[in-house]
Amino acid sequence: MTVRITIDNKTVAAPEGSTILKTAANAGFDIPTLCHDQRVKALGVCRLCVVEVEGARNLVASCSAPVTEGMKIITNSRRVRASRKVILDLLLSDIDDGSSKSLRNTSMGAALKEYGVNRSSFPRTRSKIKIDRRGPLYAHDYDKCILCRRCVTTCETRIGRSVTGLTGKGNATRLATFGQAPLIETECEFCGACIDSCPTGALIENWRLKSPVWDRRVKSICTYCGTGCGIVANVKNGRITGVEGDPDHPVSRGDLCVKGRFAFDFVHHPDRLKTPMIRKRKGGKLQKASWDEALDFVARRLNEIKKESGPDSIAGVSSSRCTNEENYVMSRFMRSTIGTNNIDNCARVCHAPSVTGLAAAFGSGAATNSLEEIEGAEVIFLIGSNPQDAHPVISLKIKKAVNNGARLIIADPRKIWLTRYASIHLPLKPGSNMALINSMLNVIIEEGLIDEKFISSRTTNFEAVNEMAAAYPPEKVSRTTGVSAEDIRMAARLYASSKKSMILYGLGITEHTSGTSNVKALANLVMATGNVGRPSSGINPLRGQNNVQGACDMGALPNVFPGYQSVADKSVLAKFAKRYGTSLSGFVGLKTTEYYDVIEDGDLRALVIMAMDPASTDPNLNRVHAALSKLDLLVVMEIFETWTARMADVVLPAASFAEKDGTFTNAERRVQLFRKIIEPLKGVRPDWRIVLDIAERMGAPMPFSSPEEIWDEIAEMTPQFHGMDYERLEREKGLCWPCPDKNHPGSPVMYEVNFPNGLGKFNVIHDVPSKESPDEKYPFTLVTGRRLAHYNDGTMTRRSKGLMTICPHETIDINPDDAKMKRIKDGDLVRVVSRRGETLVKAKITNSSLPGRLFMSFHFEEPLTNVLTSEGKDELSGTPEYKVTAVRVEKAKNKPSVMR
Amino acid sequence: MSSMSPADNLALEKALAIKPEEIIDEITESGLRGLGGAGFPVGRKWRTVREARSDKKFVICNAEEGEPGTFKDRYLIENFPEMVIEGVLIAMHAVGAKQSYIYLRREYGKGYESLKKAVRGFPPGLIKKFGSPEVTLWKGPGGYICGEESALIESISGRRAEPQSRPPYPTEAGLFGHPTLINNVETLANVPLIFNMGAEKYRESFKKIFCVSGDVKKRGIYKAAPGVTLRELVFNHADGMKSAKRFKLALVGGVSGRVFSSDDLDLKLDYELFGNGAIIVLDESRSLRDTILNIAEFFAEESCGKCAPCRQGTSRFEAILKRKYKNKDGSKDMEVLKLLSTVMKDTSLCGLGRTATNVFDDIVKKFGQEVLMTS
Ligand code: SF4
Ligand code: SF4
Ligand code: SF4
Ligand code: FES
Repeated sequence: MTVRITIDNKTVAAPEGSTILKTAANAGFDIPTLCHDQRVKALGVCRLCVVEVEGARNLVASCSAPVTEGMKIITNSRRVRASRKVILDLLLSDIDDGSSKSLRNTSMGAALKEYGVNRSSFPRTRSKIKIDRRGPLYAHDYDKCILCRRCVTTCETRIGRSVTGLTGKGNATRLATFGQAPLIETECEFCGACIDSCPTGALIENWRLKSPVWDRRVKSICTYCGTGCGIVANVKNGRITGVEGDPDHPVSRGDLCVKGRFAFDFVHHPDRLKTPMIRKRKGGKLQKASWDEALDFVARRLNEIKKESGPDSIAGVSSSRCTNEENYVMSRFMRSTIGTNNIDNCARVCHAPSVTGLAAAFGSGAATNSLEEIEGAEVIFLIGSNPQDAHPVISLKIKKAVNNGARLIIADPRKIWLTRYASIHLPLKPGSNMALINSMLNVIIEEGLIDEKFISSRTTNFEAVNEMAAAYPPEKVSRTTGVSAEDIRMAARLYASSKKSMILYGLGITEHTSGTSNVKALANLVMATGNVGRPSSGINPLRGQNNVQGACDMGALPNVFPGYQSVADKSVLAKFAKRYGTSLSGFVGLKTTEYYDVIEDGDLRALVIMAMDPASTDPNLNRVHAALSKLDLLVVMEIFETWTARMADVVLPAASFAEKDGTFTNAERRVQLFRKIIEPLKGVRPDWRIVLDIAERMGAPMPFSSPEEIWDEIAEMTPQFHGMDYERLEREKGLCWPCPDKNHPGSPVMYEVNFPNGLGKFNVIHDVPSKESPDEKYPFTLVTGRRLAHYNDGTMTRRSKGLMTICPHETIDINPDDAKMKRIKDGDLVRVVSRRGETLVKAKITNSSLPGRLFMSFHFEEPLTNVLTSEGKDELSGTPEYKVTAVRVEKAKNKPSVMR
Repeated sequence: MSSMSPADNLALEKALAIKPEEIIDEITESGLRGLGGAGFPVGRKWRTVREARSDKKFVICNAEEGEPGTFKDRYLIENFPEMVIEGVLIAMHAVGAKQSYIYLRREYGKGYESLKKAVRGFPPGLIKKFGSPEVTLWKGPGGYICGEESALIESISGRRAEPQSRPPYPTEAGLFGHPTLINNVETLANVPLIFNMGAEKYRESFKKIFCVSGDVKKRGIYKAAPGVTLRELVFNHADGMKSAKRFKLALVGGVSGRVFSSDDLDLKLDYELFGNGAIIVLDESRSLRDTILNIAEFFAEESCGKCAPCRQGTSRFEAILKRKYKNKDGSKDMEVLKLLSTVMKDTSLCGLGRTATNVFDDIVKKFGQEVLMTS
């Protein structure tokens, strides 16, 4: 229902129940606020937002009072203004020496200015509060606290934690952590949402204490995960001094996680590589060289090897951490300059099965919906993904959805943090995803919960799948998955109960020998219930690195050009050959996970790696290290001395994301333009530049002088990007592909009318047992994944002091019962042994690991987790099974000196 | 107090015999109004809760008697616990609540015991007929603010006792989010009387309890019909002033109430004026400035700290009164205090901040600000 009210004599209509503040704001009236944060429930404690309401004895707090029919409101009378001024004056009196100086650049400061309060006229009565600098990343300067409680409510309701609370009453009211504990001992996840919310700067980042002012502010995109959050960086004297969330960003809307907000210090870290290095002869040392020497060396060697052994003896590795433009030139370099399709990117070891699996079902291999739609979902099915640690801002959206009434189903072998928000947790046995998903389909079919209309009008092959699903009754599957039949049924019913059911999944689905099939199984579920082609539904891979989507879209894959145009397609080949002015190979190239076999055979002699560290992130590292040392030429472009860089023959120091222009494509297919925050550090070059330099020295220059020119060629050659140019990307804050022409608004929701191939295809898949299984000798199953404070091989986050305080070293997470059985105590050093290798690591006893299951990340060089993992590969995509490794653990006897 | 004799449970039987709606009609008919200070028609409040749609409802009896100079609830629960409980049971029956709380001031240990005994004393058969409702005796954490309805509700829910903005009112979304009826002890203790006597007779014979304290000869509890004058209460019931000193003023409704000077002795005290019925009498030897300061200290201490004008205002009010005057005659400080008082009244979240300076305002109005600046 709508009510009509008058505000300052203007008649305004508003939906019943909305607040005066919101109604007034919509109608263009400006009412000052302090304690109000529109992301959380109104608190009504600062009383700055008071207005006059006709007939009311007292002034009314507009942020919390609802409008009622016929209300007459005055927002700016003398009475109102006088009250607001007194309130501000009162609040200021307990801050500092009562002057407004220390509040400059805060929203309270702005209000003080508007109301002309420079110095408080009241006596200070609160005793002085000393700043608490114990926090590793931000400080509590509670002398500035006006007890507006935004931080408390934000943390409790948005983040789902409870870090600080109120103590005392009257003027002795204070905020405090429980027992005044230092932040590091609380459950704070250092997301900084409270800092953002604070109107006075009482919560303040450590960097801001050091450098409160800046010369410039530049918007960019977070360099970490595939959420693709917007950041704003402060620059002073050519250095990045701080980072904040970008409130205008369409995905993150100002939110960030601990990495995005705080882990920018790596950019200026003294360890940054700044000089090219060459190892002149095998077994020799890496020695500093000039760019000319290094580039000439690379060009000469590549030409030699190509001449001796043919273009296919060379392979490239492109990167999900580099820009679209860089991935494109790298692919073009391999295809046209070298002449091979041996180009792949690190998505091979994470989301390649998503590309193959989703393409098999829908004809296109990407997320079907945008991330914002999570907030509107009614049911969320989260499987094989731990967004609380790996995609925290997506986790925030899930929490918001649940707070709004959505039901959450979680399937994960671990008791991940978000299970506290879940209606059902299915703690499946690692590697048993497909049986579980097929069984859910079984229930959905058995109980008549399918969407027949959708199936008949928009899909094919349902009959076959119908038959397949019959082989997965919950009772039977319960035995293989360890999940109760009843829970499988409940999860299936819940998932099928809404047309706004959204599947979110991660590497727990793809990094299996059955990776592609798992994805297909999920796609079956989606189509059977008609949960695709509409908002807040679909199937959505959460991408690990910030440009996984883009690296694949750009054709940094052995079988496709940009936009998944097949190299085997004659007309496609001809189109690109014409554009590149050279002939191109029509043979599908090698996948990175196949490289080592071919190296061992001696047929692959040179590897050019752009920003990837396979020597610590690929599985079965002992073998990887042996293979890499066999190469005749290993070229690595990197920002730090990674394990791979240490093995290289040529190391080329690259620019970080902060030092270049380009685009990244996040998990929702949003191509986002970002600009360089600072000039490249002295001595480094952006990866795109390096690739162009090599190509030129090999005698095949490419016609580009800027990322924008590269983009224009991408857009010209790829139908799904035809409509995108830098100007539009900048203006429209990114666009989701497909965007086939300049007037097309982009596609947050896919397949609303049609699938690319017309109909969606159900795929029959059967349970492929994982190649690793526990036995008497290796009785535990090790699952690997990410931790909140770190990222990938850790070269960036391990160089952030604050993050290293939060998570200083790796642990193996073990269930209390298992620990007891093995006589392992928290913090004990244990030896972990798999069929391929062993390592030493400290034990952490936690209930998040269920009995028989262990967890480790791969963020550290000690232990090098991936010496344990296996190469068992998904047949179709070649992605290794990082998620299942049979191991044994035992208490280590002697402490090696390398462990801290 | 003979009319409030320990019940023979007649009222309960009578209330049981009629429909809940009829109970509410009877209450409405009786003219009973909230006696904790607000004076809201009780029948109307009950009806709102009765009609609220919810699978759960609560009744709370507010016995957090924190207002200085008020001790009537304590008197009632110590001496007539059965009547309080009968009132609670009838209210529960009327609004459809299965659970209730009697929220006791922390210091009321004796009252707690007598209530406990009384609860046990009810014939089980009768209680069963009421559908075996649950009555919980709840000791508050202490503090003036716990007497505020919504703060009291927060406190039972296990949170900091702090007032909440309204709407929603407790009658719509109160304890654990369910419709909740909160009445003061005295209000509920009156309920059985209505059924004992019948609404009409009750209305005619209704008497309010006054707590007279301060500089009078006989401090204590006195019952009188609304419309009684202060003169009668002080000079007849309480037997006049304690010493030879003359009456100077009375705080009617306690430290957050209104100030009556000798000019007001013959005003009729009805619902709008008597507040909760606390009457603190001061004789001519008392310093007005000290009185104001004492009250200011009290509120600075008792403010819950939630909203800015009250938390910041009460403590600044105290500090300004205590400090050396800014200018010679203190008139500047007086201007600041007046402004502060207006803003606190106008913008505070709950009644505490809105009434903390009532006495100050009245004294300035009735005695002139000079008395505060000089004495
Ligand atoms: S940083 Fe995040 S988790 Fe920590 S107190 Fe603030 S809002 Fe809570
Ligand atoms: S720290 Fe900031 S956000 Fe939190 S209550 Fe104080 S002023 Fe408000
Ligand atoms: S959620 Fe991902 S993109 Fe967002 S700030 Fe964190 S790491 Fe960066
Ligand atoms: S903004 Fe409304 S009370 Fe603070």
